[in-house]
Amino acid sequence: MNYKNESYQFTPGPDGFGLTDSTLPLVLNPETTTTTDWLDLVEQPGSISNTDVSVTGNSENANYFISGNYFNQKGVLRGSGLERVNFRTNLDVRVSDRFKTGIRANITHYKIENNKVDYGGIVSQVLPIRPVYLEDGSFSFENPISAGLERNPEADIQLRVDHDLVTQVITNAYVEYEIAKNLSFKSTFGAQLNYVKQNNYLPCILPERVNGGFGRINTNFTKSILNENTLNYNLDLDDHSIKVLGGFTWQKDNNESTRSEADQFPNDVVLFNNLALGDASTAVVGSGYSQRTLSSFLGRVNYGYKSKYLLTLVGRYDGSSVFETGNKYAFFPSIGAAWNVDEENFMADSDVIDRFKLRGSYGIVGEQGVKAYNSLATYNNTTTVFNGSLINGVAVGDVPSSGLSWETTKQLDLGIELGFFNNRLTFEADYYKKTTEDLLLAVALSGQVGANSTTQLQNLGSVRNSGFEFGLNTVNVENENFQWESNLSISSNKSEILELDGQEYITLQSTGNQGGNSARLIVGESLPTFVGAKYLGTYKSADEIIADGREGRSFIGGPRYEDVNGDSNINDEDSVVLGSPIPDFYGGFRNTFTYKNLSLDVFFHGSYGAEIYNVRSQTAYFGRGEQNVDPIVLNRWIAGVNETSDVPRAGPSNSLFNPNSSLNIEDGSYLRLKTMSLNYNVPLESGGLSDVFSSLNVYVTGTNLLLFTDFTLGDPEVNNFSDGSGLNSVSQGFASGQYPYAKSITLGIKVEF
Amino acid sequence: MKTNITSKFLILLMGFLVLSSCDDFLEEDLRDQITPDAFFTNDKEAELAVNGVYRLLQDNNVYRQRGLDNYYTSGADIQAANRDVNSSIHNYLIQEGTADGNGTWIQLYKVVNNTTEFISNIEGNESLTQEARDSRLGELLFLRALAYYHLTNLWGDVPFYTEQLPVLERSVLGRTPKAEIRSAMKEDLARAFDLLPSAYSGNDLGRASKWAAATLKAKYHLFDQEWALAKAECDVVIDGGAHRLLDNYADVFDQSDPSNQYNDEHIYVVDFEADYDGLFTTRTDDYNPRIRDEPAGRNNDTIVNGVSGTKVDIFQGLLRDQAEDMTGYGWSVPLPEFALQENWQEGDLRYDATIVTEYLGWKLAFPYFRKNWNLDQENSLRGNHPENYIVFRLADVYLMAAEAENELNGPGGAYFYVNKVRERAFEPDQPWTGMSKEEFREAIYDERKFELSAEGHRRMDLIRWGILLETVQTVQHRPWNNPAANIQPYHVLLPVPQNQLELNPKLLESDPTNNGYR
Repeated sequence: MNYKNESYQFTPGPDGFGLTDSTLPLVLNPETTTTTDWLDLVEQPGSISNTDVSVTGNSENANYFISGNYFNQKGVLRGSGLERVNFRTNLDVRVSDRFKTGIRANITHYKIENNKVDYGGIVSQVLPIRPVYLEDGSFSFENPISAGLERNPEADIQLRVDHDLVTQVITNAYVEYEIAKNLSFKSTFGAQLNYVKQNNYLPCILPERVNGGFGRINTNFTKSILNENTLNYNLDLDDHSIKVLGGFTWQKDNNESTRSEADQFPNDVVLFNNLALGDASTAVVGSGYSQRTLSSFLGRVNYGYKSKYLLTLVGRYDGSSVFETGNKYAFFPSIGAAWNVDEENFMADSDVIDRFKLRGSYGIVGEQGVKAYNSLATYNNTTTVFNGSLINGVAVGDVPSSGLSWETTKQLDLGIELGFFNNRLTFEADYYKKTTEDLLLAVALSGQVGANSTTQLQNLGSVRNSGFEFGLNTVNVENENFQWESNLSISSNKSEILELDGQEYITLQSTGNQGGNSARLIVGESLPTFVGAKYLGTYKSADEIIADGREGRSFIGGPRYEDVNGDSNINDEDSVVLGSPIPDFYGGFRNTFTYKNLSLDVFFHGSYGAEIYNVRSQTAYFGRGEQNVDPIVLNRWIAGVNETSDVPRAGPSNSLFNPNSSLNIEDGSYLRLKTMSLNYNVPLESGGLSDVFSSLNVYVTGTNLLLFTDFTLGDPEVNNFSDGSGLNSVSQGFASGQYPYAKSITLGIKVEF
Repeated sequence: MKTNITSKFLILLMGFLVLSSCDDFLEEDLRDQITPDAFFTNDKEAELAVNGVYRLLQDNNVYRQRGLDNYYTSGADIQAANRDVNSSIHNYLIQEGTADGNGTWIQLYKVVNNTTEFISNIEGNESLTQEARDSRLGELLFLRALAYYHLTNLWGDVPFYTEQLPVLERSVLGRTPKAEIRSAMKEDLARAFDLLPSAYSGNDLGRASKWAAATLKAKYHLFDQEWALAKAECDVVIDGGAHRLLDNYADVFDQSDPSNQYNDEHIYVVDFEADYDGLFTTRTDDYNPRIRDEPAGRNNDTIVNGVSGTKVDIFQGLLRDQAEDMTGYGWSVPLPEFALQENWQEGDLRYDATIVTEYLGWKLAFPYFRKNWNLDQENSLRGNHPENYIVFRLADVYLMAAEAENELNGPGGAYFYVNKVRERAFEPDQPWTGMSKEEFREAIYDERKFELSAEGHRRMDLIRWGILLETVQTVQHRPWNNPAANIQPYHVLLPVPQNQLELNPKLLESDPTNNGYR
């Protein structure tokens, strides 16, 4: 509050270097301003109840499995939750010696109560000096600084209707027929049906609803059909084993959607259930259809000699509908070999080494995950208004791609597996090197192109990823009553952009309002790379401002940045590399202790060396009037009080847009106690329970119990994988105050009869 | 039985192989969108395309919010925000990457590209009737010329195309000299004038008429100091008789009845309508006060008609009694000198229609623009206003004619035009007479200020007269603003936006200084 008042009294002053003018009126009255802890208000302890029942059975010619599950979760944000019912059944029937068939079915229905509040919005925008309720008992509805209409989180929780109803059917049937000895045919046919209905209603009485209620119903029906047909030939000749597989698969995914909404409901009686009660002139309807298809021819040969030498050859010829004719198909071969050294005679006598395997593979894989129809020019439908009446129109759509084809990755893998002392100590190490070419990127085009969105899908550039993965399993103690096992895994990945079609860099993201570039692809750097200006602290004297040539634009106590090209402007040309969201290494450490019927499992998970881009720093540090600031501003530059501070004074950056800078970059390293679980197998013999149960297990599990990190904006593991616009597919590491991973503690009982 | 099953499998297998050989399976199956190759087959489709272009103007970066107003009203001598917001623009802290108008650039090129694509599809298209072909072409030519008008006003030389170019060619065009663009657009506007109808009615009100095309053409000529052509074009509009000056100045801006917002003085407006997503305007909020600023001494206690309370509570109660409130943002208030009546000529009726310093008998903390505010809480709510943006009106044409005639032949023939406007502005009449050419010219500087304030003309006027710098340096600003300290001669243009330079380095080829910004 003092910060806001101070910022409103900031003026350039007579000398142009900044003056706090105490004659200007205070924007907030310290005596009447309230304080609200909005985050505390919207949070609650969550809870989960989960019940599973299953039956399995076997008969001579058939196996069956039937299960049911009921799951009910109350979310950690008030008003959120999930209720789910699920049935699964598996049935396998042997019709004859040569003919088998079966079916799997998984039917789920659930209802998600979506978050009613905008959590990120609360963190960044909803000010603590705003009261929940106004004096007359109604909900407050505006930002006390900007006077803009703003949602009231408490009202959102109490009043908003926002849930999804989802019905999901996943089925899969197969037939398997032995045509001749060693030769069989298998065909599977799978269907995934997903029906989603989203119901939304914003009641008239919500404070920001000045026009009455608003209802919306969206539906989405997706259907994915996959058919796989393979011929298998197996031959075992003494020391040689050969398996040959050839086949053809096809897949068709389509999506049909409808949307409908109406505004200006006069009252909240029917909610979303009858949209016709909204004002007829506000009704909006729409529908959509999209489809994509894939087909593949594939062949695979496995050869083994005495289980010592293994060789695998694979060839796929894949086709995708999303590419233009001529580019639809691509061939993806791979080869793999392994040597089980421990099977060799010279190893047979080893007491120490039980397992010793070397393996390697090289192959090419393809990526086609771009949107359907990307090569087709379209006109988008739109609306306009003349003399008060709404009419339809069309406008030129997105820029179609031209000659787009598969993104390919050539991957080399080398690995070793070792086991010692009766496999009480096992070790695995892998090295990989992947070179991805013709990246599928939505490349920005200059604005003068004038299309709807000025990006175009292109195959552009190449990137190399290489790294190691290590795994170590040890049985530290093993005796009759007590066992202690450990598992340590560590991975590291290094990525490097090899080329970008002749360009030095491509801008991925420009976060913030007029902050300039924040992430780029830069040749020789990792993918992606954070960029921005280098923050130098605050201006301490007029001389510094004059030396930088920024009179009238910068003020004493205001932010100072490194002017790389010396033109007195701070913009993209002063961007330097600031970091990368790729960690140096990450891994997990698990320890399991078992004492008689009691077991304890502790799992730590961590990451080291990644940077995170804190999108909020712009507003939280520089204090744009209507948004929340970080506690660090308590230590800001204040004239005559704290003139050595490098936290800018309140005011001079108030309305100016600050560049993305090193201030946005934070260390994202962390270590967290991911899970800890205590498990007790109730001894059944003693209480005579064995007549009733075949097993009875009681457990308590905690997740996300501890977190060690320097990151200031909540949970370093939770961040945007896209922010702003542009090449979202490869952007990551941007955090803007998302909801952290929830701590949870689960109590459970598992019973088998 | 077994053979039966076997043969069925073989048939099934054959079926899949047939399917696999059939490339049709991988063809794109687009069902829910229109493609250009099957469009422009009838008059209705041509209309849809033109409608889509009008929508592009109803955008925050152009007329819907402060997109164009940022550069046409801020940074001059009439208005600014009532606090330290949006100040990079008013204070001339503009640089590549800061307030460089990138969004406006992008949006205006959408207009250029859409109109260009649609023009080439409509021109000579025999599937359309002659009437539809003519009027749609006329509208598109006008709309494209409007986009290039703004682009050349703001950036000078800009990329220029009037034919459909392949994307990769279009995206790397360098800057074309402003004069070349403008002369092509003047020709287009002459053509549009011939093609367009004289008037619209009903649900076509809001489309561009031939008078809109002539007014835009007059502006092009005036800005280029082609006085004779400017004067001739103004005469075309004035003599055309489709538009007239309203008797009462305030009525020109009266949009209080959302169903009756057009009047005879409006030549071209961008229509907005409340309650339609994206089609209402938020510009009015900038002109409306924030209740947290008002009234003056708002937190002091007072007693009115026996009711005691803080001034703000009582004042707001009175507003609400007449279904009004102050729910705006206060981003556009008159500068101190402009708000003072003593700085206006005595008897200027436009002062009260333009400026409001007290309301319902209560002194306000800031002055506001009465002509652009709307406190009505029934028809014009915060964030959902129906007021149209008046782009061109007849009084502007009269003043342009006066200015052009004075430059051409001196004040003799120019008095008629300026006095038409002053006739309704003063009671009693105070017509101009007996001025020198120079006196007339400078008097026009002020006349346009008082007649056309806060309508998006001022800054371009100061620029074309060559007096922006001195005007900004001499006018009084509020304490949190210091444009006088920062303004430079090169600020008459914006820098080509940094974002565009990065995506198309050719934009730096013709002028490596980027309009003086580097």
